[in-house]
Amino acid sequence: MTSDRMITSDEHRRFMDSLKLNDTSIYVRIERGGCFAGVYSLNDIVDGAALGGFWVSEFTRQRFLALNVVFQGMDYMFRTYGIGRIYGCQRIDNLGTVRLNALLGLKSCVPSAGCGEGFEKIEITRLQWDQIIFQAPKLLKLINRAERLNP
Amino acid sequence: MTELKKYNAAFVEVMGVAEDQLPGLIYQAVEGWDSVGHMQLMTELEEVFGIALEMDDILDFSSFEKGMEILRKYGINI
Repeated sequence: MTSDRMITSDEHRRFMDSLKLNDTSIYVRIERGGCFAGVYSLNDIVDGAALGGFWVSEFTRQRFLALNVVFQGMDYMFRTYGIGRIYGCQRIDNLGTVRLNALLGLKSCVPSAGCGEGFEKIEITRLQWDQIIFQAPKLLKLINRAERLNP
Repeated sequence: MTELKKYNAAFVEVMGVAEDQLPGLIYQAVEGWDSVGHMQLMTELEEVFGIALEMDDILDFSSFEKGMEILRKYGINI
């Protein structure tokens, strides 16, 4: 959630191959229509809490599906792996990331220890995800609009 | 509020830029106008003007000025 650096699909594939023996991380490859859409990851998984992260492909950005893909990744992680809390650090002056995380219900939490200067800690629990996400009209409107663009 | 004011207000709210920065603004020139910001701007304009933008127009909406040209096609006096 903290980097703007462009990462290629090949770099991601190599990295994900290296994770096969790591039991504190989960990386999920997300596809849409057979195309590589992005990756949602959990790291430092301890007692049901994990550091979340995502990357979306050029394919996804060009089709305005970034929000949809990250939503799909988070929902899969919560429902499939029994994760109770996803947290992360975001750069407070990165409007794009701040907006995306806010739309997905991630809220600022204090203290922000470990995030570094210019960053803030954000989080969402499984309970909040269940209670808030499916009743968030702005989020649902954007997701549905992007889906209608990509039948 | 005039149509132009409504148009500018949508940009300012979604992109997080000042109104005097809008002329010449192009897609991805500021952090606020990424792909998510673009969809947010499109849905905001659809709501404000009561229109449904066609797919080609959403894809062609590449700048502040191009957006005005597109909205005129929908009868928005801008």
